[in-house]
Amino acid sequence: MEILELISKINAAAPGAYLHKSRFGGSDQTSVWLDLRKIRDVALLLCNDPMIRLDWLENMSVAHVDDALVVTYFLRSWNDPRLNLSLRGSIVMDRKKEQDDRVELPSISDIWLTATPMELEASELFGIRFLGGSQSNSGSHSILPEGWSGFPLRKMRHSRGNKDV
Amino acid sequence: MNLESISTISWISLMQDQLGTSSWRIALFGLSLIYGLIILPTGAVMSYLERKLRADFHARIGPSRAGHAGIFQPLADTLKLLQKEKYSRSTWTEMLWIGFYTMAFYSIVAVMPLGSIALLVNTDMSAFLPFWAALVLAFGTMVFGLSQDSVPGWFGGVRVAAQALAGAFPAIVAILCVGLQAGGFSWSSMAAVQGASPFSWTVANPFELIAFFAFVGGGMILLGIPPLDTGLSMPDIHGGVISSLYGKRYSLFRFSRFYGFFLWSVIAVTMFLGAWILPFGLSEILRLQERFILLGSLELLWILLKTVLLMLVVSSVAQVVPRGRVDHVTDFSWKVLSPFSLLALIGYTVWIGLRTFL
Amino acid sequence: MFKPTLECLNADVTTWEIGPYYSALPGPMKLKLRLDGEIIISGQVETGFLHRGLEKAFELNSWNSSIIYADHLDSEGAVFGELAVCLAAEEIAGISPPPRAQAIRLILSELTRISCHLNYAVKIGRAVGSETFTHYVLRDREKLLDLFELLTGARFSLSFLRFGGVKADVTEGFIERVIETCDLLRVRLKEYNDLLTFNQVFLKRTSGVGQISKEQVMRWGITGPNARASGVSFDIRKTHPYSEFEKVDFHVPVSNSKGTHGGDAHDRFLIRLLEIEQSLEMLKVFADKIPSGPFLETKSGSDFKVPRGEGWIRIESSRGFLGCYLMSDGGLSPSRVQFRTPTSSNLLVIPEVVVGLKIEDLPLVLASLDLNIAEADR
Repeated sequence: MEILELISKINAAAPGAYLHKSRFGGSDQTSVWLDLRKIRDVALLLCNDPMIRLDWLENMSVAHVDDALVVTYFLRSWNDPRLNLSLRGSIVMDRKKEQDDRVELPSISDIWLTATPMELEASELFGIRFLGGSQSNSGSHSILPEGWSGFPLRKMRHSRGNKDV
Repeated sequence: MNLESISTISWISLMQDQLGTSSWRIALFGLSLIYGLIILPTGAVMSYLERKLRADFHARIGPSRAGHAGIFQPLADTLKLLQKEKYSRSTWTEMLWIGFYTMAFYSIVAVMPLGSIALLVNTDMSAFLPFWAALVLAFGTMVFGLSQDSVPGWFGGVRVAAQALAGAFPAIVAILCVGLQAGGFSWSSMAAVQGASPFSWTVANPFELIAFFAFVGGGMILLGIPPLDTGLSMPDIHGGVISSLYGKRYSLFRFSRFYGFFLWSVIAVTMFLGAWILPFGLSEILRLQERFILLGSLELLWILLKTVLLMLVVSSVAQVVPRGRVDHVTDFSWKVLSPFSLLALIGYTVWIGLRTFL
Repeated sequence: MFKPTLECLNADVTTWEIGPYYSALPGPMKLKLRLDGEIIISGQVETGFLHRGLEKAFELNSWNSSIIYADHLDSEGAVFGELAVCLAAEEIAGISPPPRAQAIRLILSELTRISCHLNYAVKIGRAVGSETFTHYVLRDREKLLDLFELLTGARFSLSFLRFGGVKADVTEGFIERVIETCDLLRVRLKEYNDLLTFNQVFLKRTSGVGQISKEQVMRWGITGPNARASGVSFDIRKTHPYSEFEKVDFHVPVSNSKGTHGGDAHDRFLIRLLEIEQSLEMLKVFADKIPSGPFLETKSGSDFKVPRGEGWIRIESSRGFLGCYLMSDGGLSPSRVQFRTPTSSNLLVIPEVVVGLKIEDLPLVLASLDLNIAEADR
């Protein structure tokens, strides 16, 4: 399916979700930037539409860039190995509270079951609360030690001179 | 073979004549000697030979540090195990288990057929008495397993019991088959129908050969001898009752496993592989010359040699065969060994009948 | 009013929690099992006990240190981690390693794949109590570790790849030793088959045990030999070729076991032996044809930087699809490194695979899934 056709389907399924598209890094893979609040509707379309069938979430990656958490979903199809796409979006954080506050994102672990451990990791290490997810979002730790406060993979400002780590 | 020409002379009566003391004291002394000078050293030798054999199979060197070519390795291992401290208090179920094991050890030494001179118990029930020991060993292991505070222990205990029951049936039927040929179940009668030549051994008969394999296989399952030792094998989650054993209790357990294997092999040699009958008619010659000490010693060495060879053959098989699951092993016993042992029994019965009436 | 639950009415059900350190488990993980006698009726997996903050460590150290940290993603197949990070950084920076370096990387990858599969065979042998087989395989694996030592100076954590190539050229005699080892292993494979693969007892232990269907593979994103054993033909070396794999003619073994026993533990074992055979063929053909030329594009010093950008790389490790997402802000260390590891998917299928298993089969099934907790927890 052509990318423009895909974008029009996304707009039909989740109006306002689509923001823009770009190339992913230096590769020829297309990235579609979305409003992540509508990720579930887009996910249902991409997974279930027989013309699209992006039925495999191969990876979900989160990165702390400037004031936002950038979430990237790498999708592909089992039936057509050449078909792959990345969905991206960002969650802006309040700079003053970014070390302590959790941000929220709709969960897609019931659509793509492979998302379960990825969302768990992102939840503990980046402080993202996945709404409607299959695993507990109670804040209990399975990766980090009990009682750990903070989110280690978020950048901590000014802890090494002026470099964010 | 003329039954009357073979007579077993009790070593107790011999020594009673010489020393003039009561028979129970002599029996106790003798049993201690057998245990200390025959069974324990054989255990040490077998442990060393088995480890060297296993190393050969694995393309390794094996024990090589304790003494020249590692010959003191069994001693080093025993000393190490005996020095280990235990960290939990003994429970009454553990003492019960240790009691069972001890009972099995010291009672069955008396039944062991170690030659025509060294036969303490030679009754018509002799062949069945080792079953008692094996079942007691299995029962003791089961009690020990159930006394543990862990799921592997419970499972292991029940598995050992299931295996013991499965292995006992073909073995008992095999004994019946040998008893048919011997006309009785005493060690002397079983030895009397055999000669020194392999062609006159019990296994020379095709039905008895089947019974031999059923007996050895059934015994391996009954006693948990590798590779049919699923309920007792090392990996913990397989139902390892031994997972919580260490130190003295572990050495007792390991020795009991060797003892069971040794006992079963001695009985197999006595029933199927020519017993203690010396080659070149030496048994008759020495008996006629009344050189009983020499006769007893040679017969003991001869039966021990055959026993050790049988044990090494079984160990060799264990090195190349993976371990099955406990239900595979019990299935093998019930669905393969048992029918074959019954076939051996029925076949031999028919064969005797045909010989008698034709 | 008290309402009895199903569990307390069912007197045979036992709950057993094993781990995180237990001899039957592949690493630090917890398994919460509910048992009805010997049969497992449910299982839950808990991991995270080996989380070392590896991804954060990348961000705190230089680019060159990333190679060393990548070694520790998977201790058995260290080169796969290095390769993933190098390819991702090279994609961002637009660095193209010279053909000789690509060839050396390919040889190292395939040797590592063989070494990992032999280690897998050892784990399976131990799980079924076949000590002779495990010793034979370990002995043969030593020859591969000797090759690694000859080339890189190390046996496990090689730290040999560099951005833009490899650390050093192949040593004299290395290629000859590789070909010799391939010839030897080809003979040994036949021995393994004689000793274990088609042994009746082994077949009884592994056939029909721990089956993973095609649907489960696709649902949980399982890749690598585990997926191919279930009949799903997916190999990154074919779908997204890297490091000159597009120039190599090779066949990806896929199980065609039909019927009720497809995707069982035996299939997973057999597939790996077939992959070893394929890798040996590839090495035999390729090792002789290494192009001449430099082995490194440009030497990177301690102030090496990758320009601003991001990359997503997929490679086929011995366990399956290993992905690396790399982001650089143009600084002296990576801004973000994230790995997608095959074990993470394999762990997801455990609660389904263990249902109906006998408890005795659990170590074997766990060994057959080829789990590496270090790469799952990072």
